[in-house]
Amino acid sequence: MTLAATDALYQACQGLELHMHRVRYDALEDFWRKLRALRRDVGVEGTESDWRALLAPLYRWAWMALHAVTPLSHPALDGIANPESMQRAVRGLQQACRRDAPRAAELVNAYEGLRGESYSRIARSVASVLAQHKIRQIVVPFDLPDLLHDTEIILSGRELHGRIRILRRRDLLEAEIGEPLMVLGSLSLFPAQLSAAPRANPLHVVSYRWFRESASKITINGQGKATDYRIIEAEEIPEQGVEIARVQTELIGLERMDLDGLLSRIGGRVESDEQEESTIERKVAARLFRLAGNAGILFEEGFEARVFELDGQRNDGVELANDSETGFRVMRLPIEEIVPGMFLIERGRSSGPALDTIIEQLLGEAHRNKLEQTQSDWKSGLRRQITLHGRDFIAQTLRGWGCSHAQNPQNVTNWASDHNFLPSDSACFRAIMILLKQTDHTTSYWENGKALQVLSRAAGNAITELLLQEIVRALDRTALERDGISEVTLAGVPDASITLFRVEDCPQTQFSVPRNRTRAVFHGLSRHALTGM
Amino acid sequence: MDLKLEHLQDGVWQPLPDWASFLWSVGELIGGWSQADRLVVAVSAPTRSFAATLAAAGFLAVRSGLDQFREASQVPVGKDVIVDIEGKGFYRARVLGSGSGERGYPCIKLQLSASDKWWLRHRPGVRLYPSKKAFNPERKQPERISKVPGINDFCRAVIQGDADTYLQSSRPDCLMLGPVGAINSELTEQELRTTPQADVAIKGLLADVLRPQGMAGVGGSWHVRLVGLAGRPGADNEVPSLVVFDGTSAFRKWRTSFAGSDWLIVLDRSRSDFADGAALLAEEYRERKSERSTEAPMPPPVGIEYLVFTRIGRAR
Repeated sequence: MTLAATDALYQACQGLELHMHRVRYDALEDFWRKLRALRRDVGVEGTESDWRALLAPLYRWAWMALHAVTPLSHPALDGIANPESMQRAVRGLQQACRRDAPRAAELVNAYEGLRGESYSRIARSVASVLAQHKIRQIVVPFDLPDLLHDTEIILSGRELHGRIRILRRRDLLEAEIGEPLMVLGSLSLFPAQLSAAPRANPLHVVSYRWFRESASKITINGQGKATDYRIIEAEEIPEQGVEIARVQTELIGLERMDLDGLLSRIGGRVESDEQEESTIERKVAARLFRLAGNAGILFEEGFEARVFELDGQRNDGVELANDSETGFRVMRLPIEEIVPGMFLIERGRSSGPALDTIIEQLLGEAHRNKLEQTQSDWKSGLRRQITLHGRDFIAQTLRGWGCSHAQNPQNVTNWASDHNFLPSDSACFRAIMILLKQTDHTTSYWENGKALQVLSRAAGNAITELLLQEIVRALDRTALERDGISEVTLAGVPDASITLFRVEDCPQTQFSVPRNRTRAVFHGLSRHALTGM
Repeated sequence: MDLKLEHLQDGVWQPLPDWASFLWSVGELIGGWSQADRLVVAVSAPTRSFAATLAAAGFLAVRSGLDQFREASQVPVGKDVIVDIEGKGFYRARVLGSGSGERGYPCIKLQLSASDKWWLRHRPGVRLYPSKKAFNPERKQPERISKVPGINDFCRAVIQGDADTYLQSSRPDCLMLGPVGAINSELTEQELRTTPQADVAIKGLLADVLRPQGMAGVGGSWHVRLVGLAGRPGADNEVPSLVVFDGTSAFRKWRTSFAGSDWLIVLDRSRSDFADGAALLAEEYRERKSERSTEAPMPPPVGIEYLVFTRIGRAR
């Protein structure tokens, strides 16, 4: 792309204004103040939880817009809020505040004004682009009656080239074949077939000529349920984009069947640490290694693993530990270079007492206790809320505050647990702070949790380093040769151990598995199960 | 941005658009940063095209002069140099001492005649060259000399340091992580022009300024290393002055590295992973030491969002 073409893109975006923050901040602040005042001075009928559930969409939208951490993370009005749920919330607010109807009406007016003002700006841009590019169909992510109404009014004053069709996301397949289609909003809100196309651009007019819909295809997933999907082919999507879309779609169901099918047949158990949804959903290509003692482990393709060799013939790889007296050496090798006969070195995941010992050495007991006390404050608050209202209700409330990981209620339990430092997504942590009415401490609690996380990692690394030194210094070679497995412990640090497993087999089969299932040794894997694949 | 650059649009040379000048200035801002804390600058733009390359060029234009001045200011006391003060000409001088001025900028004490002694602070337009001829400390007036610049090309016009030194040395001033193919075509296919005088026009490419390692046609010296998403960023002990993350993918992959360098993060809002990039950036922002939003080189033009903050210390 030349500089002139890039400039044209900037100019086009300037006309669209879709990249600008559409929320007027003074109006938003005014709305927020009124909302809080109404709650404080008037109150509403119903319980605290009713109030929160009622206003969750409004709170979420206004709070996120006001508290976005960086200018780049300011949400757009239609990017985070489903206008239908917002409208429902506003109507519910009017009913709930019957005791002071004028103030409720004033609040609703403030909200409508804010939306109207925001949308009319977009509508002007949309109308202009539709007219300029002679586009007659547009697809929007949500029902946007205000926007569409404004657009139609603006367009009514212009000479147009036919009636504009406005499609919603679910009506995408009804787009007219061969006609350009304007996509409004982030492509992440649309089906993957659209967003997989390279250079498909949410800010610009994306012009696809719809071609045809292919035949439906049914895939059976790991739980034996049918997964139905359809492929949309568009003539102007580059070949690569179509291919990516097709591959992504075909993977649905198949990958889960591979791993779950295998594990259910062999009765294996997969340990997982963090059950956060985003982690579970991230699939990676992995290879399975069969280890001594009917154990197995999956490694992500392209990654490296810690390896030990008894004969010590290799002198490549990244050296992690060595001992001149014994001649033993631990190295890190790409998994592609691991062959049967080598020993994989993996640490167990539960070494809380060991971590505690090292953290105390790193930090001193008093300081560590202070950090953990602060951490304990919000965790006990969250546990109390779960006890009072139930896990599912808390998860639902947190979702309302913008915590997407609360889709899986188990995450809420994990966050309340002392074995977990923080939610991985800061938006989830903010939601928890709102729930606990601790928003003033959001930053300090987050930083405190991060500090503990960093310390824990540092302690973990220190333990691993000591264990690797112990391997090269004092490993029982005979026992390892005989059993194929050996556990090395650390004197003076309880529960710190590392295990060496002889690699028995490493087939070339590639699996697609959630990332959090890799690098965890599981037991009960038989040779028959592996060759049966 | 004092430099007036033009690009060819519809057959006519036009000044750089506002957004391009802004990105160049962002690079200049980073290039002039000379403090112990790390500077982190993030921009989001409607497209990633030219954002990273223009900013990197602005960075090198300023940093080249600053680095050369810093090196020159560390020469032994008694060394003879030629000092080029833009608008005032070339003078022979002797180094009397060196130090650090306000906000860490290098300063150098020079003797220009028997009675003239200056503390010279680095600023754009100030260049130092080694002097082959000895300085005469008995002179009553500063010795003004005529020096014809050796290379009068695009790089010479853009680089604020001594272009000869810049063109003869190789160092990892800047590491660019991202789509190498796209970056390469921006560097080699877009001709730019500057007109230092009414009747003199100098044309060149961004590659003449950035000088990526291994790129054919820019000579033997290099100042920028380009690394694609599948590549390896180089030796562990190599600490580039600036690391440019061109896009969310690069930022996601390498944001835990390069704790010794200043950062420029370019996020393309047209990409579906933009929100992820903004969220990762927010994580970094929480670790900030201070906010420097008041020091934007100029108000960001429409279409660009801009964030500057500092992180404590540098890991070496």
